Amino acid sequence: MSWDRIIKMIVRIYPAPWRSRYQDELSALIQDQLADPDSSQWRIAIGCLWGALSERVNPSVRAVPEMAPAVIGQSRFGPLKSSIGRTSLVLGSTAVVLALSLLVAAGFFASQPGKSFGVGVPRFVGKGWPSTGPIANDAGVILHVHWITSSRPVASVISQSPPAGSRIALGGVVTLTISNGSTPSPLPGAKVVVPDVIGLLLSQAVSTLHRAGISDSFGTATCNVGTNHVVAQYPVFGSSVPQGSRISLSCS
Amino acid sequence: LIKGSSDRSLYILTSLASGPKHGYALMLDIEDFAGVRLGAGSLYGCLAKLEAQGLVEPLPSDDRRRPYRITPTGKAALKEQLEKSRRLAAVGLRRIAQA
Repeated sequence: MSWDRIIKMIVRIYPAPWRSRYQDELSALIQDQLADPDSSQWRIAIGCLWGALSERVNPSVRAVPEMAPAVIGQSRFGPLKSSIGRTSLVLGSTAVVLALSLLVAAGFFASQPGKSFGVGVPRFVGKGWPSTGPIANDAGVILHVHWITSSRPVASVISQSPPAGSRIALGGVVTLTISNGSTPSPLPGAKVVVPDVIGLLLSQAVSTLHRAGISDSFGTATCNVGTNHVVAQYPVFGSSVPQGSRISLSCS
Repeated sequence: LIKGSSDRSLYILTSLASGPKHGYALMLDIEDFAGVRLGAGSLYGCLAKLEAQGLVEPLPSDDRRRPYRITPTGKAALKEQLEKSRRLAAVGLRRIAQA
């Protein structure tokens, strides 16, 4: 069982109202963390487990009465309230035991030899964007790229998913998170003219857009590597767009 | 005013004081300026509480990585807490120097 699945199971321990509000974001963050070779999967799993149990004990997101009719009248029934508290405690404890068992089982299966398949995922973290294409080609994997604002050097790979050393099918996808540097704070109402980035390498295009104050802080483009020249952009160059807008880039 | 795990809350509010960020960007920024790596569970537990208190708010996003920004109430709470910390630091440092 992969860490990804184990952590998904742990995330299900969070209360339903909390999950309906935060699960997608938390899952995205966990994927980013799992892709970072400096992160410990154990620490991520235990942190999520602790967070889920804390939310059970002291919820920050409460169900609206229409969604949870059983909650109505709770304050008038002290014994019912304490019963719910005890039930939560029992469920929480059961969840802890279950999750720890899963973690131990996962560690056991991960240590079994002879289970490897596909190709090994190379390490991309810390490398510059231009060097990732040849590495991916040699390894037989396809790259998808997500650019984010970061204090890390421009065009350096911050994280990858799946992590280096794991195995995926030949031609499988590795997602890289790459820094496009720090974005200047957008001025309210300010507009900028979209520069022409067609024909540029993707990394050069992102830097050019960034300098123009266009790319926002939350990702700008998804492209396959090995084919990293920009062939189309939207909005087209010469357009006037609000500062901080996203530009969609396509690669040949 | 800032309830819960105040250290983590202060890290998050301080990070958001420089502009909106999503969860992973928050984590990297906090690691940069505080040397503390928050776990996903801790970060979102704290973000949820800060949002419930009205100190941060989510921004619209078509990505799963939803950005957050500090609210005016959050800025005021952060400023008040940092002023208290500054007064405490000044007293502590003065007394250490005098001892």
